[in-house]
Amino acid sequence: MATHNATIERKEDSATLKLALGETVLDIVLTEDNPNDVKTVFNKLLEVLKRGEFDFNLTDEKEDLYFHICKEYITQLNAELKSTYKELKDNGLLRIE
Amino acid sequence: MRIDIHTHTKKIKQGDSESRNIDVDRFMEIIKETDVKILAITNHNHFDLEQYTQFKTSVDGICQMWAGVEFDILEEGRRAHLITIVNPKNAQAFSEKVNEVIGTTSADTFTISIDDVVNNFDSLDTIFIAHYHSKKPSLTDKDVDKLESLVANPKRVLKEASNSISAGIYINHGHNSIHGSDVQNWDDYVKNSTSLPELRLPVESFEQFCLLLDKDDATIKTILDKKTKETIQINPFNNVAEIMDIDIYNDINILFGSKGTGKTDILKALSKFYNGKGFKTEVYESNSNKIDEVFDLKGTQLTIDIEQFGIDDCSTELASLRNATEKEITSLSKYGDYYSADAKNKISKNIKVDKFTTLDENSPKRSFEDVKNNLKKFQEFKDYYTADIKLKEIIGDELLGELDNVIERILEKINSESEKRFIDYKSINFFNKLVKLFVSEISKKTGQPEKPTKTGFAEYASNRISIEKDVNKILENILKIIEPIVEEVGNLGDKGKLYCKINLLIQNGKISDAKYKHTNSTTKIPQKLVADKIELISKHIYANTLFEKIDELKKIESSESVSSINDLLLFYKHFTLDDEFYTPSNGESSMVLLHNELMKDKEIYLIDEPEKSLGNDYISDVIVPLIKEKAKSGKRVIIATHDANIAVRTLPYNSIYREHDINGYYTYSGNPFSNNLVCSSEGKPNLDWKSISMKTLEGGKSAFGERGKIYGNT
Repeated sequence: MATHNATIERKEDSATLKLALGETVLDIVLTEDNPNDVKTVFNKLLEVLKRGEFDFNLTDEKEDLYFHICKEYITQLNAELKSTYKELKDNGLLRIE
Repeated sequence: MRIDIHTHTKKIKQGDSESRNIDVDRFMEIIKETDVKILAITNHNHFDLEQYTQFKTSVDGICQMWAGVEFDILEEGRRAHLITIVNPKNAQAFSEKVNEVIGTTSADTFTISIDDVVNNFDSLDTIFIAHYHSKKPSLTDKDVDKLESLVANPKRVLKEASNSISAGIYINHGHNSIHGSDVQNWDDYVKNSTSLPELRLPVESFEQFCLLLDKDDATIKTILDKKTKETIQINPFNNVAEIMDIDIYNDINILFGSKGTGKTDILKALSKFYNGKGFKTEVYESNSNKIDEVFDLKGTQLTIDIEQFGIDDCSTELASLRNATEKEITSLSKYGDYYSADAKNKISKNIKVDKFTTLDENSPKRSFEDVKNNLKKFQEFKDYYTADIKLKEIIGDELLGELDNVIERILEKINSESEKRFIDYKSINFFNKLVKLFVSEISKKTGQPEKPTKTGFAEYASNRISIEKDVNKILENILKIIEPIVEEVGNLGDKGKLYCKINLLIQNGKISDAKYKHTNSTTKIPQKLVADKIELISKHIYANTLFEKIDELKKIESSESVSSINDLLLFYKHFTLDDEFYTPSNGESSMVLLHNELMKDKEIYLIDEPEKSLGNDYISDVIVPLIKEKAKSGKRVIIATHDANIAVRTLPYNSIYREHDINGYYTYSGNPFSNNLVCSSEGKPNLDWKSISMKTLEGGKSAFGERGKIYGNT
């Protein structure tokens, strides 16, 4: 199982959780509430998950609000990625070459 | 039942072939393989009583054996052959007489005059069969006249033709004619026997055959009466004055007469009569049925369930796809709200349960359902064999006990696994509920926002996985290829067999062939659009636009008419010949429809003018033998016809003739064997069956000319 890097990008008036999948980086903007953007990220995660199981490891040095949010979010997402991978496998929908 | 009045069992003359020799065992085997039921041994100038007796005994009950000799006749310097067959009861006397007449003269040089043959053998209850015309060496007409003048009963003098066609020609010219195998090689006998004369009436003895030659009414009646017949009263013209009593034999019954004499009405009245008795009959009228309609080329009656081809109708998947909705995900602001708020309540700060991450509940649930399904199937199997008493009888208690023991052990194992998985699933389920409950309650008590327990990814993904599964299954089944259904329609003779082919396709969104139609819909547009849209949906499963595409599917006009893959089924039904598209002509259509009618297993066949649009060859070679076959198996075949091939060549047990004159309509009945037609009304003289047939029927003369396969003559 691959472990990918998750980081937090902090800007003056915004913060983004960055999920690196190889060269592709998926952004979840923490300071906006845009479900469609999150769904786009979920769709990409699903496509990658079909090719193999993975999870994220959050690397961040600041223990601020964004850190707590992202830590919780990544923990939950990892658990859900795991169960979704199993579901894809059970339904024969993996695309492992 | 066939008759062979000319066989050789020995090489007697120098010129005879060795292959004429046959021993008793081989003779018996060969005869058993044929339909020959009467056979006369007629060696050249020789009669072997011992061999005759052996052969007769060997085929006793299978074939009647008659005793005879083929004599070399010398008449006014002309040489000819004359077959002399005696009543088998007189075989001993015949043997003695032959030996006396031939003495020590060799068969090669022996000759005898017509006078001497008659003087010596006529008293032995004899049939004389003269080689005639093309059957060489033949007696001249003068010789035959002389023979007829000398014998006690001139009807016992027959002429032997060289083959069945010649025999037919002689009959047409008023000669009594027959032919035999004149066997040259017994190896070919089985094959050649199929062209021997056929006996339409079951002749039981030599005496009966002679009486038939005499056209003895009592004999004919006795034979005919052996067939089941029924006297039926019908009122075909709804006119009390014309109530008819007609005999219908479990054989061939021919209705003939000029056009407009009510034959079709009689058939319809017979159909009504039989239907009233519980039979299922209808009058088959040539040309009234169109082959396209009979074979339902438009598919109005066509019902096909694609599941018969191993294709799932995907009705559940289609319904699920239509009802699919997007799953919402957890709003990120909820995380922000939760972590922004400061937990002030001391107790809530100490509670840890709400900090737990909820666990994956779907996997253990699926895992439990799998085993639950296994358990159900095994339980059903156990219920099946336990309840089936007949199966128990077949398998026996011991074997069934062994099976039960194994099944019980399996059930125990599955049960235990099921319990384990149930506990796994439920413990996670309770744990998740507990976490959610604490989160919710703490929030209520402290006024703090609820802590999100999941991102929503798993549910979001699960929803898409489910849609992908459904779409994949629908597309996989849509893309399945169905082999065409091919049904044999009939034989078109030299052209080959005609088939009816149903080509089946499932609309995949790309089929525009106008020849293809849906079985249960007149429109093709929604089906094509629906299939096309499903294909499009499959490309958007992991895109934000997925539900837009699903909405487009729902908005297709009349898309609800596609509730399963059955609704996407397209067919194209047509006839084929040599696997190519073919449109049969009217004649070919009549041919196969009539053939199919006669191939149906029925008790009663009512057929009106089967000859319509059909060629003589087809009638003679296919239809007449089929009709005869039905008669042989005791079916009632009632045919109204103008065709002599059918009315004459089938040699019907019953001919019903309808006549019309200035005084009204008359009904006659009779048969070819008595050659009489008797009127049901008083005061009308009997008619001659042959002359009326020749006069009334189309092709009458030639039909009589081709009657070589029949021993009888009219």
